[in-house]
Amino acid sequence: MPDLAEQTINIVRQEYQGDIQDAGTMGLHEVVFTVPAGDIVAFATYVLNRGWWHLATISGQDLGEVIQLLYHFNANEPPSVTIKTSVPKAAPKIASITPAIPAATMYEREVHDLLGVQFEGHPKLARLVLSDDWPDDVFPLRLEELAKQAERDKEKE
Amino acid sequence: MGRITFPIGPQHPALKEPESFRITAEGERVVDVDIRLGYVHRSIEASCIHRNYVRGMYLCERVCGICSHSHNNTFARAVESLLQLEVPRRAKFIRTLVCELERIHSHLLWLGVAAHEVGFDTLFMYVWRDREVVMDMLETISGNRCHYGMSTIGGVKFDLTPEIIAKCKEGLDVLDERTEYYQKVATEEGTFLKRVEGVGILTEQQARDLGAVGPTTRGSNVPYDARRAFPHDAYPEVEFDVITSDLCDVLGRTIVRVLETKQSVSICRQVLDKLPDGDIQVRAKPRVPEGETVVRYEAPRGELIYYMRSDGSDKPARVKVRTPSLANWPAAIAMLEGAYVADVPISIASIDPCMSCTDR
Repeated sequence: MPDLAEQTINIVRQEYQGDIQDAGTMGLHEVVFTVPAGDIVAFATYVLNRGWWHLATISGQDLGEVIQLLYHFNANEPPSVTIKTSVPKAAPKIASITPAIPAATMYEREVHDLLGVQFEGHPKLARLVLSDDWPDDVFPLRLEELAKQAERDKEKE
Repeated sequence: MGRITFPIGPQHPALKEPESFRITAEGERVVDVDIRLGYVHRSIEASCIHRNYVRGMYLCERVCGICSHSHNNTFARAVESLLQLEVPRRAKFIRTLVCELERIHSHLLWLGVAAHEVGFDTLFMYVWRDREVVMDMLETISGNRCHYGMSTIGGVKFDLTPEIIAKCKEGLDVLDERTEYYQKVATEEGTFLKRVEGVGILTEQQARDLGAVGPTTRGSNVPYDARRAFPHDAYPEVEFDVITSDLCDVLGRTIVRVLETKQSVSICRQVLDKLPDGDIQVRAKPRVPEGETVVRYEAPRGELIYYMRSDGSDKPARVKVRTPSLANWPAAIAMLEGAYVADVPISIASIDPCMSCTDR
């Protein structure tokens, strides 16, 4: 796996013309590339067309100052590719990859609901998980909400 | 022709689980489908952050009432990959056995539901009677019918005694024979074929583009199986075929599931024959070093993926679960557009949707 990962990183660095801020490995089969948020559509499309044909999901997480998005791609064999990118929490906006990669539609809507990231250009960025009467400025997976949940759990115990 | 929009769900007599579909029809043809999820959302991802790894593992097992071992085992594997912990060989084999028994149980359940949706209730009753055989086997192994609690971080909880192994082998013989019969019904029975052939079309290109997984994508001739792509536990040591069908309709998905059940029986037999001796568990530290990991598994409904990040404490900093049902919804919507209203139930059922998985 380390050799395979190194080869993959070299190939991608040679072929892809844009900015790759960081490259490394993660877990069992994953090669991780970090790219600027502005390049996400170009890089995700490159990865998809380069053979990692399946977008498994998009994970989002609140890291304090920024919200990090992880796009997990894979092929029929290792290695898989995860693209990392971050958007500022104060203005969490990123271009939607759904017009280029339709498989992303549900995943972007879920991240939009739970972390409040605006995916610009998504054909239908409507509520998916949260109910209609949920407040517009509360995002359940943001750190401040998770802290409130922990408080509530403590009170119950 | 005038268009009408009607809701199916979240509460509906013909829908077993609560999700909402708003279907727009022009005469008998569906022209638009809108789905809303979240009616059984239990905030499991958020709750994991407030619990230590062991409690989180048991909580995640409750994401689904059918593929519970998939979540249990995948969570355990994610933590083990962060700990860089090697599980004893015997434990790997026992995990694989339960994985495959669960697949048999899930696929038989689905076949029953599909038969019911097309009005073939005799088949439904037969299949669910035979499903009890595999439920009993799982109960014998773990003590439970649904939430087995089999895997734990560093191995498995329960060992297989020679009596249990003998009982499992007996059960597998019954399942093998019955599955043979169901294969015959699914491919030759006229009343069933008339109702599923050419229904719920999902082309190979659509399946790839929309990111469908599991039998849904394999029924459209995309040979992706996470057990083959990312082998783990005892999968590198057993032989099995990745079943695909080029029919791209509900019949294709039915054939894939029935033949996969036969493959699973064969995997279970190989696992029992090759079962190595030794320990079933190694001790794992409660604190997990800083790091992040992604683990994939082929659950009965398709690829399941866990992303986990640890900050060095005894609780995870982030657990992300993407269940196969969520991945298959865009494909289900594609199947419905242009279909007859009467085909909506069986088309939705053909992705084997699990609402509690979808929502988590």
